[in-house]
Amino acid sequence: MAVGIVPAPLLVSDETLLARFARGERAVLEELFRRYRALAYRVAYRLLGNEADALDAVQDGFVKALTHLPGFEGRSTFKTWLLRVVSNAALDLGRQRGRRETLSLEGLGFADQEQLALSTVIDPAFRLERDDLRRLLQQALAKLPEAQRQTFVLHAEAALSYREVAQVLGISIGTVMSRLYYARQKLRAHLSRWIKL
Amino acid sequence: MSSWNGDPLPDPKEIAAYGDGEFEGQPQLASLRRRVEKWVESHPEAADQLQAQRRLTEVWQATEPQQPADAAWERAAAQVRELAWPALPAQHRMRAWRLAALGAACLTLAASVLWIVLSLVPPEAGNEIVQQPVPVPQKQVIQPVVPAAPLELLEVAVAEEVEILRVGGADTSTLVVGEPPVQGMMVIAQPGEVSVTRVEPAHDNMMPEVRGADPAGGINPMIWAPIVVK
Repeated sequence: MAVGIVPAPLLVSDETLLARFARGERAVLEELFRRYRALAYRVAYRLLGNEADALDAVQDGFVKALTHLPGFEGRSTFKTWLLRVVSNAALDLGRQRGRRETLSLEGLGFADQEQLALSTVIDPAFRLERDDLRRLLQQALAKLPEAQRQTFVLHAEAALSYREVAQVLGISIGTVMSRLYYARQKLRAHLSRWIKL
Repeated sequence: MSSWNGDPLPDPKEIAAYGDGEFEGQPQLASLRRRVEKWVESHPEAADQLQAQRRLTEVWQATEPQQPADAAWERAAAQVRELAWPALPAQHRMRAWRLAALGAACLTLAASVLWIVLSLVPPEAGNEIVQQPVPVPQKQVIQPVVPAAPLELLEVAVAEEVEILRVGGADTSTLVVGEPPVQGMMVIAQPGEVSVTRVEPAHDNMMPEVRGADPAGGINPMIWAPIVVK
C-alpha cells in the first residue's frame, strides 16, 4: 500500500491578497474576512462585552480597513493594521452606545468574601462558573481606562508583542509596559474579590 | 537601596515583560534578562508577581469569547461585501466615471443633432402631421401626489455649541490643569509665567508625564483652565 504525504495548502500572503484586491478581485475580500474575522471578533468582544456590538465593530472595522487601503502603507503587517482599525471601531461604538450593564455577580449567589478556587472555576465540567468568570472579567475590563483596556486586549487577546502593540497604537514601548502593568494591577484587584489569583 | 549586587533594581514592569516572554530571542536584552531572573530567584514578592501574572493569563484563556453562529457571520460578511466592494481603486473609479460621462455626452449630442435636423427639415406634402383630437375619458381618477421624502439635513455644530469634556491619551504632550468641563476661555500662559513645583499621581496611581525645558531650546506649551471654587 502506498503512503503519500499531502502537502499543506499554500497560504497566499496578505500582501498578495491586498494587491489582488486593489486590482478589483472581489473574491479576495472573502478570503481576508475569513482569515481575520475570528481574531477581530475576540478583540472586539473583549472591548465591548457582548456579541451584537462586537459583530458590528468587526463589520465597521473591516469596511473601514478595506475602504482606506491606500492609507495602509505597509509600515506594519495587515493584521496589526486591521486590529488597530477594529479596536478603534469597537471603542467608538462603545462610546456611542454607552457601556451595557453587565450582570451583577451578587445576583448569582456569590458572597463578597467567598473565594472560588481557580482550578474549580476553569474546570470544563463547571460550565456555569466559566460563564460567570467571563462576566466577572468583562466587568473588570470595563472599569479600566480606555487606553489601558485597548493596550491589554491587544496584547492578551491578539497575542501582539510589546513592539507590535506600540506600533498599532502609535505609542512607545515604555508606555505599553506602563499600561499593561497598571491594567494587570487593576484587573487583579477586582478579580481577587471573587477568585484566588 | 537603588541597586542590588551592584546592578540596578529590576523595575516591576521589567519583571512583567520577562513574564510575557518579551526577552526571548533578544540578545541585546540578555543582561537585563539575567538580572531579572536572579532577582526573581531571590525575592519571593517578584516570584509572586509572576505567578499572579500567569494565573491572570489562565483566567483570560479560560474565558475566550465564543464565536457567533455561522448565520451571524454570513450576515456580517454580506454587509462587508456590500459596503466595502465599492472601494475600487481610484484609477478604476475614475475610468468608470470618465466612460459614463463620455457616453452621456455623446447621447446628449446625438439627441440634440437629431432634434435640430428634424426641426429644420420641412414635412413633405401629404405627410403633414394631422393632429387627432385626444379622447377625454369619461371618468378620471386623480391619484394623490406622494411628496418626495424630505432631504435630511446634516447638522453642523458651531464652536459655541461644543463643550470639550475630556482630552484623552496618555501620550499628549500638554499638561491639562483644571476640572472638566472647561468653562469659558482657555488662558494660555506665557513662558516664564508658570513653574511646576510638584506632580502627584492621579487617582489610578498613574503619574502624568511632565516635560521640563526642551534641551533644543523649544517651548513646551501648557494649558491652564480656571478652577471654579464652589
